[in-house]
Amino acid sequence: MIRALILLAALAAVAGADDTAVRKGTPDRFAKAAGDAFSQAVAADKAGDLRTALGLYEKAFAISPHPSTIYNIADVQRRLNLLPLALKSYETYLAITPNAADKKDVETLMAKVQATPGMLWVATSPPSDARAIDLTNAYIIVDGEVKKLPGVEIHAGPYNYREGYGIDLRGGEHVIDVVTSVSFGSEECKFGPGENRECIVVAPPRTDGAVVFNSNDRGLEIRMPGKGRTEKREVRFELPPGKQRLLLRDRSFECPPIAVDVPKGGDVLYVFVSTTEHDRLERCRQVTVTQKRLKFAD
Amino acid sequence: MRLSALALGALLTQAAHAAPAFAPPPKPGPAIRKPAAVTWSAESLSVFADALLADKAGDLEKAHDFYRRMSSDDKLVPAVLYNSADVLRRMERYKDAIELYKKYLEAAPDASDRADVGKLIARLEATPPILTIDGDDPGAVIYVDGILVGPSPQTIQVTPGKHAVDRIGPTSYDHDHIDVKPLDVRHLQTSSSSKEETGNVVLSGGGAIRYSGSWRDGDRDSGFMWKLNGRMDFAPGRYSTQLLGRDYACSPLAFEVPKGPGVTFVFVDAPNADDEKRGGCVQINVKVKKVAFPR
Repeated sequence: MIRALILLAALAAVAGADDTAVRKGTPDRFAKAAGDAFSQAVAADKAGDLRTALGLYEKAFAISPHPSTIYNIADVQRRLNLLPLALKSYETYLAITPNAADKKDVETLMAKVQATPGMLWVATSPPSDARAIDLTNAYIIVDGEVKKLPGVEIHAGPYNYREGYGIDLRGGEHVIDVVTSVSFGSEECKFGPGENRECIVVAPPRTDGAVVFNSNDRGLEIRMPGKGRTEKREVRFELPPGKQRLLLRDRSFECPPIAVDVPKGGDVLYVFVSTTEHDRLERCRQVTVTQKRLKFAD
Repeated sequence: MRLSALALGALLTQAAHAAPAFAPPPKPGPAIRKPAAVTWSAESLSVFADALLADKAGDLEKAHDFYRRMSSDDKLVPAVLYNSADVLRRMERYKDAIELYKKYLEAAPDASDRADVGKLIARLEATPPILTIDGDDPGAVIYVDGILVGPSPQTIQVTPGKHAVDRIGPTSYDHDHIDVKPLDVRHLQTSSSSKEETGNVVLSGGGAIRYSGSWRDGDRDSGFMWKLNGRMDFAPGRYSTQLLGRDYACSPLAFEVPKGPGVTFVFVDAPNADDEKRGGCVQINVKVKKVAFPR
């Protein structure tokens, strides 16, 4: 009961570097060496020396795996804010104790850990580089969602990051597009739950075009207008204003075309296509299409 | 374990519902995973956890790679083989999944779910052929066996056997005659690099018509040239020709080309063509449809 209450407390406070211990008792089937390491780990854990505790629990688990040991490893990793490692350890705990009484609680805890936002810091190269982007006057778009409008100021970076713009984001692989009135740059950045990551985006000084297209998968490309057949992603290009169809291709498979309305003047149509299906399917995968009109002052 | 058995049961029940003609392939069903054992080494458990995390994150390819790394360890084989098969099943790589489910049964001859896994293998082995039909000429429509499936592209299940596939675009035409069996996965694609086709009549032969090609009615200079599985220009009016030979077909191939723009699709089949061997004439079935291209 006490352990359950402590686990609930841990569930409530997982987002930060929570220091509430949620330990299991000493496993009874350990070899002596593993048992010794486990006891020492518990002592170090209680004394607040989490790094030592983690090493000793890991030693015990390597000598003789036991559910209690891997659970405590996960618990220490969580308190040390090593969230991706904690997730893997909780997963191992559930893999070897599929009928654990606390299975649901652990799954809930894992979901919370997984959802712990990290911080993506979008920056560009220094002004000495011609490919540096004017971030202040740029749209920053992550996975098809606009996160910063032109005119919103950028800031000095935390840690030793460059001047840029911070975005709280769930861990994972993200596509970062930066669009100004005259340029377009893109970068893919990956980080785990609770982690911080600086992502440097650069672009050629000038790229013309009223349409920007990108996707979350290298296989998803659009056929470029004009003679000759070329497919691209991460691209800005010209299309006449008005209603058009973009021909989407997924690896060697054709997809239903995307109907778009290309704006006049200096505005830009941004199109982002994403899929969650794996890339071995023998057909165009199910895609989600996001379209945004990016307005730029004349 | 009970949950796993229930899930496998649900997966097997799913098989009982037959898919309608030309329906998209059904989704493969939820994950059904086996647990690890505490007797495994810490290293093996680490790779197993990596596989589970990749699987739950939707990266099935990566999960399969992790399981493959472990499958040489005899002690782990049954659970790893099963989970690997399960990942391949969800990737719709049914042939590979069947192979691994069979290896699982070999590795775990006393498995409690042996009967259910056997049924699952049988169901997967009966997976109807899957066709993906597409092309790079936008605005095309697809017919299979003379029946409109819809705008291109399409991914559909078909019954095993012979089928005629027509993809008709504003400036393209492609015909495929296929003979498919369960578990086949085919990609039929029209390329814009092939020559432009703009005629107003498409004449297509069904799965039982065993030849294609062209023939001429009338004399060599003025006779009309017909093309089976081809696209031609016809003036409006009524047309008639001998598709299968005068003494062989019960009736000529006859149809009307209406006035006005658009494409007329003429699908001809002779389902009892094998009656030739038993004597008697062959009945020709003709379907004529106006092609409506999507806007």
